[in-house]
Parts: sequence; structure tokens; C-alpha cells
Amino acid sequence: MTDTAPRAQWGSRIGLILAMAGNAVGLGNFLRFPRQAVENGGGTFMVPYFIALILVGIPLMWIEWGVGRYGGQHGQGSTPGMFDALWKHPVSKYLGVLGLFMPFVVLVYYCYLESQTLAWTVFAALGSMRDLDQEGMRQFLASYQDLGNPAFHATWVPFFFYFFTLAVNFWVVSKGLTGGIEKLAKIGMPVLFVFAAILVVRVLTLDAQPVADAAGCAAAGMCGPVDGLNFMYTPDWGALGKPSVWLAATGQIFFTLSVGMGSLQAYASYLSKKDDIALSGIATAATNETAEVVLGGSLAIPAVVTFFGVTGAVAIAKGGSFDLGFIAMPLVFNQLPGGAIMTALAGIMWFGLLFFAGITSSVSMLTPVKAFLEENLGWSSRKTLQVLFVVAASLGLFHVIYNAGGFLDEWDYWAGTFGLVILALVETVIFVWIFGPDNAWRELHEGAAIRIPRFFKFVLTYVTPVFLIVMMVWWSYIEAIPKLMLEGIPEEQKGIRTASRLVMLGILVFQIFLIRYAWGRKARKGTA
Amino acid sequence: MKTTALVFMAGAWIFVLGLTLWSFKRLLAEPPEHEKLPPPGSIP
Repeated sequence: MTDTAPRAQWGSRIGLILAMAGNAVGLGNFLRFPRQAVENGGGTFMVPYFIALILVGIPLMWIEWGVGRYGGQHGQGSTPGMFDALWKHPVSKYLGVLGLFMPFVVLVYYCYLESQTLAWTVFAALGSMRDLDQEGMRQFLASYQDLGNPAFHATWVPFFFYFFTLAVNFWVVSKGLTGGIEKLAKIGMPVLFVFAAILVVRVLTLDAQPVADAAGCAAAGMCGPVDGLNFMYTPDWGALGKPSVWLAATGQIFFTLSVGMGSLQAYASYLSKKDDIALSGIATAATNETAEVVLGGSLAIPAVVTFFGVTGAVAIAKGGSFDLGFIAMPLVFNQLPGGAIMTALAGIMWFGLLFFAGITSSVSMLTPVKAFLEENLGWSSRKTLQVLFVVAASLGLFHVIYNAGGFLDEWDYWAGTFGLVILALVETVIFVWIFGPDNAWRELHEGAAIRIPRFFKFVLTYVTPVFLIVMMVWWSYIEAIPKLMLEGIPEEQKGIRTASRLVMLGILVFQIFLIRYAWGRKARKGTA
Repeated sequence: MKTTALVFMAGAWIFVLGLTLWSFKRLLAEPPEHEKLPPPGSIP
């Protein structure tokens, strides 16, 4: 594709919705959500969670679809060009760098996490974890993540799975919008839902098991899946007054819907002017919420509570999402009735669904940078993907080699967490306040299959931006500043974490330079 | 299952499943603009 080539279009509406939902449904739906809910008061967490969904999540979904489709009409599939089209100001395109930086940085480390889900699918099929106890399972994970610990995995194994996963992602994107991304979504999303539904049925029909500490379970000395659901959905009203619960719930809405990333806008840029975005945005958010609340909320916690009790589940969840998904769940599968075959099948379905959830998200992260290079520098699709693969694979080496030193954590926090709120705030201000509330409202209703309730115009104009500002200030104060100062970080990790930040900064500066170069090039050609 | 937990869970499930089914029903009821057939007689 060159500067003047016609833009690709989605093949069908259902393909678009599945691709958008695939973008949103990711590892966070099945690993992060249950952990956040358990850590923040179970049922009480769900109250701010749904409030944030309505006041921030769905409005941002509309904003991103609106920004994307508007940008697409101006031949732009990435936020620098989209913001420039919405706001004719020299600074607008540079603000759009966030929508290039975040998806690319997240793509690099997300593919590493995704490659672990693929590796664990293979390990489950081979029965590699069949005889491991909890400490053994912990070492099995640690050996993969730390190249200096060859107890279970040879050094080449994480490299192999990383490069293979990255190559599959690039191969899918190289097949184009309809032949690659849309086809992947049409296969991956149904497989994901079927695997998850089968596992939910299996987990919820488990018999109660004797556990060492059955506190919080209905029967004496025994826990079952219902105790897990009770724990997950029983409100702790005292926790509703805690700011941290609101922050956690709003943060989860961001991660789960993939808003503030730049990838939803890129997908929406391939819509035509008359395509609906109002109803499609709701359908995308609702599909994601079904995957998260109905399926994600009924898997890990009920399963882990059944075999470890409520106290054990909380302790595991506090260890992190990976402890829940990669240590506790394989231990649960080892104890399922049905022997080695059932253990292998459950493992394949669990890690397989995580892989499909991951890859349908990661291909979307490649799209904005690819679109930017093709549309603004006139690169061919082949050249773009070749260059990006070399860069992503090189940067990914840092994660494979230095993951145990906290390299990935830095990228995950600054780009994959804090950065999302910044881009969401910037795009809301540009689309609603600068482009204008009336223009934004009109844009959302262009070709719309439904009328958005007028109440949401007020929400979009005032509530969502204020919510985002409060969230950013609050988050900066209680979390970002201490993290920036490396508080509580072991001394031996500080060097790697500082280097990790410098690499990120280098990417950001280089992308700003690219934007400057691209607009200079367009000005010389008279197409700016 | 505890009544409060059941109410919470049922409410959450009904909300997300209801929203999903409603939105897909509406989406599938009306094809998007570019998938619609042109009016009869408009193609020479």
C-alpha cells in the first residue's frame, strides 16, 4: 500500500465485531479480572466495576470507534493522523504518538506472555506438569522465566516459543484485514468461547474437596465451587468506601476493553462513513464483558477455592495473575477425576483459550504502527512487516533474557497500564472538547443503527473526562510516583529496570522523530 | 449458595448476557450499508 492506495475494508459486520471483541478479550479477562475481584472485596468490586463500565468504558469505546472511523475517512489508520484530522494544530499529531508507542511496546512484551500460554498448551499436551506439586509447579514457571534457572527448561525453549508466536502474529497480519485478522477472529473467538464454556461446566460441577483450611466454606473441612462463587459475589460493603477499590475497578475496565491503546481506533479506521459505530461499540463491549464476567469469573476462582480453600485462593491471587493461571490451575487439573487424559484435555483447553485470547489481541496491536508506516511513509506492506518484525524480535530479546529482573514489569506498568489512561484522556479532550460535543455526537450517529440515549452526551462531555482526570491524578499520587522512584524495588533489579525505561524512552523519541519526518515529507509533496 | 451472592451474580450475568444478546440481535437484523444490495434497476 502507498500514500494514495485505497484503504482496505472489513469483509462483514460479524467479522468486524468478532475482530473488535477479539481485540478486547485478552489474558486479562481470565487472569487479571478474577484476581482483582478477589483482592477488592468480591461482590463489592462489581459495583464500581459496572459503574465504570457505563461511565467510562462504553463512552470510551464510542469515542475510539468515532475517532478511528473519522481518521479512516481522512486516510489515516493511526492516532497521529487521526488527531491531526480532528484538530488542526501543530501539536495534535505529536500527541498521537501515544497511539503508536503503546500498542507497539505492549505488542513486544504481550507476545512474550502469549508465547508462554502456547508453551504451556504444549506442556499440558505432553503431560510435563502431571506429577508436580505446588513448589514443583512454581519452579517449572520460574525456570521458564529465568534463563539462569535450567531446572526444567533448556535455554532455547522460551526463545523458540517467543519467536514462533511473534512470527504467527506477523503472518496473520500479512494476510490482510479480511484474509488474516478477520479470519483469525472468526476461528479464534468461537474456539475460545467453546473451550471456556466447557471448562466452566466442568469447574462448576466439581465435587467438594477436603482442604487444610476451610474457613469461609459452607461445609466443615470441605470446599466446593459454590464457595468460590459465594466468595466472588458476596459484597464487603466496607470496601466500597475505599478509593483503591474504585481505582482497581476502573483500571480493570480499561485493560479489559483495550481502550486507550490505539488499536480499536486502527480497526475502526477501516469502516466506511455509513457503517454503524453506536451499536457495534456496545456489542463489542458486551461480548468482552460476557467473556470476563460470565466465563472468566466462573473459572479460576471457583476451581482454586475447591482445591485450596478461600484462604489458599486469596494467598495465590496475591502472588499475581500468573500464580493463579500457571501454578494453581495446572495443580487443579492434576487433581481432576479422569486421570491423565482429563488433566491433559483441561490443560490444553485452559492454555489454548488463553492463547487465542492473547493472539486476537496482539494482532490488533501491530495494526496502528503498520498503518502509520504505510500511509505516512509510503512503505509497502511487505517492507513494513519485515522491518517491524526485526525490530520487535530484537526488543523482545530483552524480555526473554531479563524478565526475571523486572524488565517486562516496567513496560507493562508505564505503557500497558498508566499510558492507557493518558491516551484515553487526550483522545477524549480532542474528540469531545476540541472537535466539539455536537460534532462528536453527530459523528457517533452517522450511519448509527440505534440512537444513543441523550444522557450519554452529558457523560461524554463532562463525566468521562472528569473521571479520567481524577483517576490519573489519584493513580499518579498513590502508585505512579512511588514506582517512578523505584520504591520497594530490590537493589539488584534497579539497573535492569532503569535500562528498561531508557529503551522505552528511546522508542518514544524515535516515533516522535518519525512523525516529524512523515509530516515534513508530506509537506514537501504537498499532501499534508 | 448465599442469597446475596446469588442476587449479585444473577444481576451481573443478566446485565452482560442481556446486553450482548440484545446488541447482536439488533446488529444481525440490519445489514451494514456496504453489505446492502443496491436498489432494483440501479445496476445497468
